[in-house]
Amino acid sequence: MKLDKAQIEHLANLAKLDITEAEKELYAEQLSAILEYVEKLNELDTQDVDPLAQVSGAIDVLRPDLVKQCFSQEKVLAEVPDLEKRQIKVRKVLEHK
Amino acid sequence: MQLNKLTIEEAHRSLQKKEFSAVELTQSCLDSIRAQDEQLNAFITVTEERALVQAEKVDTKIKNAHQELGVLEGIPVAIKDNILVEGTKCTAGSKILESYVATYDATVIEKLKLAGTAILGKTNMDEFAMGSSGETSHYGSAKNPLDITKVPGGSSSGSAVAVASHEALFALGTDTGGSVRLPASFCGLVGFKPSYGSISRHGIIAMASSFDQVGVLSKTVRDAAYVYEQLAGIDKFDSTTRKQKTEIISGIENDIKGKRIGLPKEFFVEGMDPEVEKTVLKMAEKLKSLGAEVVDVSLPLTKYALAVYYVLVPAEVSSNMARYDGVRYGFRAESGNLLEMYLKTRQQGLGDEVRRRIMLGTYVLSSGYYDAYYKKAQQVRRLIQQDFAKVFENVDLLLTPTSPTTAFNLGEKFNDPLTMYLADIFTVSINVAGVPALSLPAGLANKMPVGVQLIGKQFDEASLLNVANQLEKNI
Repeated sequence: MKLDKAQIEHLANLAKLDITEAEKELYAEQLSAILEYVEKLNELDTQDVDPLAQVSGAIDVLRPDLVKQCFSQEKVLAEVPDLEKRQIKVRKVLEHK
Repeated sequence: MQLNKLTIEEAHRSLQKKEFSAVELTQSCLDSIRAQDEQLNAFITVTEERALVQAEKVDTKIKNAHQELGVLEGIPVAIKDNILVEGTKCTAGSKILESYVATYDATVIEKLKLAGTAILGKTNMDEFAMGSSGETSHYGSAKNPLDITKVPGGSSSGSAVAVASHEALFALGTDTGGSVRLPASFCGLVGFKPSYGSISRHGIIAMASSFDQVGVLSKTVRDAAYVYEQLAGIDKFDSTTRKQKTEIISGIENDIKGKRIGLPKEFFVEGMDPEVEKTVLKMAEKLKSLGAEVVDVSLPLTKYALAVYYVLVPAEVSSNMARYDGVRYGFRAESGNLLEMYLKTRQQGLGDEVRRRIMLGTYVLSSGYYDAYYKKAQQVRRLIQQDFAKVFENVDLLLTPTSPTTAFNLGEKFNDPLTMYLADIFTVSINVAGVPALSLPAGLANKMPVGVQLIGKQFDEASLLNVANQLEKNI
């Protein structure tokens, strides 16, 4: 599978990465090489094989839904890059045209 | 006596006999850090004061109480910087978490604190544990203490360097595809990755959640076993942890006569350093001389493990990395609107390898490609797990090289991701299957350490550490 520049731009958009023109070319080349390498999985017939999502063997681990002590808000809010009156501030979402 | 050069066991015995104090022991590690770390770059953060306060507590206990001293009490330890220690900076080797201070303790840290260890600080690592050499760290590469022109191996690079250069008596790392075993092999240490589900991942900064596991870097197998006994067990904060036998030390000196050790032929490939191969075969002979039976076995799907790994891991990475958006914590880039904030924060805050894996993961999960890549890789993952289960019907353990080569030069593989990924070719299949494995220093080749890898049955850490310990004593 060879990726072109348009596909790389689409992926960067999905992943919310503002990659440069030089990176577009580099990533197209490097991701294509990696994808070509993983193509070898197609040598195996997996038609009747169940996908394996995790390996510990644990299934449906449940706990009672109870209110418990959690982290202090003060500590968690102390990490926020831009805080005003205990609210997280971000740039505007909508622009006026 | 240079206290920082002791093993956990030796230091513990001396502390009991009051030959030196816990403060002196911690101080000797801190001195070692001061003397070497500017060059070696093993630590991102050193928490000197806290370590000394903990050591003083242990000294008070030794002086006053008649209670027995726990084996890890007062032992100085280094922690990989993707494991949360409350109130301490936790960067995961990334710019995006440059200013992040952990708000709680990981379960493994809670347990280490309970056991009385003196936490020296947080160690350098490949950014978000993505790398095999330590070179993707935003804070510069750690250097191999045996030859500073070479990589220490990654991603737990700083943890390996700290133990190998006697800046700490042991260290915690994490292992998603070899990140504990590879640096252990390159730096001449024991690197132990237990079964997936045996140690809690709560409070570990996630890379690929179905592969990640906490591991131990230590000077001896017995030391690794003591630490494992403290850390293993069920945790209500990690639903993948399983109930299992965690008593290791009591059987670690058992005779290994009659144990069946398999040599999987797929791990002896072309392009492998012949010196490395020779060392592994020498270890097989040692095991025979100890009464074990060594047999040739086959894991026919081994050659597909790396491909499975480099589909599933980037997929999980792209999902786990979505939380770094500059809103609630970490680095935030200047911007005019919200979308631009996301784009610039992630572009400027995340390094090249991390962004490459996010892109790859986004691709294999995207509509139209999901079945062809992600589902296909999950299916082959099951086949690989079955491959291991089948071979373990006939043998107790497997013996392989940890890596096809010894430590390579800094910069040598940095610009070619696929070549870098191949350094993990012998370690990733273990995480794909979720079984335990340990890298044991087995000698030198080209003047650098060679590690051999012992692989065990799922949740049979006891046999793995028993055989590793007996082999270690006879090298």
